Amino acid sequence: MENGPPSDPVLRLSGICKSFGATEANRDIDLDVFAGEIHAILGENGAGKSTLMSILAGRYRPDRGTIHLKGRPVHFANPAQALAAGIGMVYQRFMLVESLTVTENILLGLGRGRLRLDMARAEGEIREFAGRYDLQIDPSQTVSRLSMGERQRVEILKLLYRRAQILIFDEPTAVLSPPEIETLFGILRRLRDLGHTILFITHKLEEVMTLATRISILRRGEMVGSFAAGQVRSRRELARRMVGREVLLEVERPAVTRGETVYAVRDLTVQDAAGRPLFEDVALSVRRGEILALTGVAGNGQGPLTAALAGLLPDVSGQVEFLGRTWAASRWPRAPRGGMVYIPEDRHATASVPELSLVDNFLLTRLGRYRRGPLLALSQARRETVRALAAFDVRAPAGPDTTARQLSGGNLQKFVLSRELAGRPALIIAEQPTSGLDIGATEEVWQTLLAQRRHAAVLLVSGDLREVLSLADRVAVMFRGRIIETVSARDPRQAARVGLLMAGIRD
Amino acid sequence: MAISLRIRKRQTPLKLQSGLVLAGALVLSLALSALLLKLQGKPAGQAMLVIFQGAFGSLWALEDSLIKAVPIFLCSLGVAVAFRLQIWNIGAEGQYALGAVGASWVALSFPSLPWYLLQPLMLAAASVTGGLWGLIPAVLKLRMRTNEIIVTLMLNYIAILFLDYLVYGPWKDPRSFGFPMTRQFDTAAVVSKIGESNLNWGILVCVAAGVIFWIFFRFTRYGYEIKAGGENIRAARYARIPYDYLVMLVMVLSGALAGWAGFLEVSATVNRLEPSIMVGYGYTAIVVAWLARLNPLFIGVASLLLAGLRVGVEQLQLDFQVPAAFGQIMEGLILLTVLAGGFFVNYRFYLGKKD
Repeated sequence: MENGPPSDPVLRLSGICKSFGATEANRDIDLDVFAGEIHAILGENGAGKSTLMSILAGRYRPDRGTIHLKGRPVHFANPAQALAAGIGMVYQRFMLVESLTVTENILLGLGRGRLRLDMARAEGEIREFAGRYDLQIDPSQTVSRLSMGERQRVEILKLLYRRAQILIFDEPTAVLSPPEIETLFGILRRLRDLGHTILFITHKLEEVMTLATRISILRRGEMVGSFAAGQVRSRRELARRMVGREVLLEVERPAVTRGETVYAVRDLTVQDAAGRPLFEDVALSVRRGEILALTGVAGNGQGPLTAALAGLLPDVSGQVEFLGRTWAASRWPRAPRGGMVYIPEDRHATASVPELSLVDNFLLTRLGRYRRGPLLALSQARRETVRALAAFDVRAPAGPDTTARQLSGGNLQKFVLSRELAGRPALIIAEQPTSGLDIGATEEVWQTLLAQRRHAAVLLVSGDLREVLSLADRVAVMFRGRIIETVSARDPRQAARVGLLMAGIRD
Repeated sequence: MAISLRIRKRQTPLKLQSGLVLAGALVLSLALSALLLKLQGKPAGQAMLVIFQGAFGSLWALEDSLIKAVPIFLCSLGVAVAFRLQIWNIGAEGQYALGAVGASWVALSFPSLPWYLLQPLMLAAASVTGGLWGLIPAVLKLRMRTNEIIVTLMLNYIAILFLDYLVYGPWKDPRSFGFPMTRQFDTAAVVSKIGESNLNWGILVCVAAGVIFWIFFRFTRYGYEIKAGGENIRAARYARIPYDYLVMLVMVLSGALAGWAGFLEVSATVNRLEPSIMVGYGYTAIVVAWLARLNPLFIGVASLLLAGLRVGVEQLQLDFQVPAAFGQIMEGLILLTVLAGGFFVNYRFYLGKKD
């Protein structure tokens, strides 16, 4: 397919429009998909990629426009109809029943009109099927015991078992470790070789460059271009087409002299209700003027550890040292923590109260500053909110009276930062600060965190390798509840090992 | 192709039109009530007029409605405090009963005190007993993760039975010819009437409580924390808002306000403790709080309306021999239609085509 004019498209979308209320998610989109290609749907967050693919998979119905499959017009009222026509989608959140086995999950909803279920036979069938596609998976295994990569393979198998020819993936690498990503890419290429057509949604340029044979770019609900991968010269060019303006891929990191150790923990351990350790013997320290990144594949203990570091987890053993004072970790949740701010991953439901105004949300963590006896200095809070919105360029339709719910993800994150950084903190714990943000907002958040090094120590918790390596001075990698190694991010040889360390490989 | 009814969440909830939805719901509940009367063979239109006139048609009727609105208002303000934190206090009835018991204990134990000491003491006692009765479910919820809806509801029965025990037993007036009631309070224990009217100064307590409630939620730290904690408990924990403390605080305030209602009822209206004070004000208060969306001014209006409904239905009983339960049926219909109407504030129906 590299040379010669492509034949008729297997799928042709024309004039697809879809609105949600006042938001136009897709505007007049044309897209041709050819048999046997790996087609990347690239775009920033909110560009309309997921909506378009969900229309294709029968989950949404377009307001206008037509879909032609092999030259014939098709209308899908639901995902089952799309699947019957050979189009299936693997969603970002897997649709699996964790307490059932792989085979049970695959058979679920298949309803083949037989009363008796011959599980052993079905299992054999699926085993043979998995072998044909070289998908390493044990059909008798319970899904809850599988890794994210294995679960994804179950989803793929589910679609193949239903005879899907066209497979759509929504951000398939988001939950995978670097080695698992390699495996996935191998699987996708093999599927392509066996005659399947692959569509995948992503905003990661590297994935597009390594995997795609054809690239379509969406920007703000519109299709801005569709071309063969060979026509793209560089990542930079791709980024420009995606964002519509020049994007710095390398972050400038002005040198900052390191100061004293602001925050350190030793021997942090905590167990869940069943007595299994969530994390064990964790030690780390961070100095003023540096960014320490804590990274790992999701589910290796970073979540609970971050909660413990921020003082939100009870019953932790070990010690915490903050601004020269030492606490037993069990007492840390009740310790006065002036000077420390925590920017949680869940900005929508933890860092803010969706139904309240931005003034009220500004008060949330700054209540102490506005207390006047029993009353609150509301007009002062309002003035400072307005100033913070301006300083961080938060686009709020009704200014300080906007509710938090009305802000987009990027603006909400900037608002949270404006609130948390208003008091010149000595320690910033930022958890996945750019997850779900587009490149523009991501860059602003990065610049903000880098600038904070002048007076603060920054602990960055992130699973995004590029973010970690762009921002951090040192990287602590978590694997199965332990920090298996802390490496310098400024030494290229060390930095190159982080991906393997995330998979638990110390070589 | 078939036409089907579809439901979709609104992008932004209704604001001004929500008043229309509320009015529509009230009209619908009245229409359903009229229909029920019609099925009984009563003249529906005339009956509705009787209810209205019986409630607001004369000075005497209006006074009666206002007097009944006082306990409903205070109980409702109380449950609204808890509801703001999304703590579902269904126990105003029991907290009201305990408040009445507390106030009565002071009135019966210190009969020689002058009114200006006795009445504040009764109020304080009612706050403590009502507040403690509210604190029990809060502590159980925090320590043992019990559901406050169940616990507050069950405590209502305990409180009412405790009140019964007192008036049938140790506190029974020996000269009551066997009726379950305490002896009549001395005049120092009775909140006096305003001028020549039948109204008592309890109305003023209501106004003060409403204003304090408004200031509390608008301008104070705890008011803010209750609002934020009620909207989003995870954000509250993140912001180190003392959620557990707030749960206890709202339940004590809630119980204390219901206790005030109990105090005013035994002191000003009945002048003694007797089981007849338990007429379901605490449950009506929940309906009122919902109707008024926890806004103190609207709670005042809705209290008056539902108190008027009670008074009006009494008139209906006399004129058309309608059973007493009809008032409760109407109250229930109002709550149901208003709750159903609330759905339209956040969602809308539309007709869609189906393949």
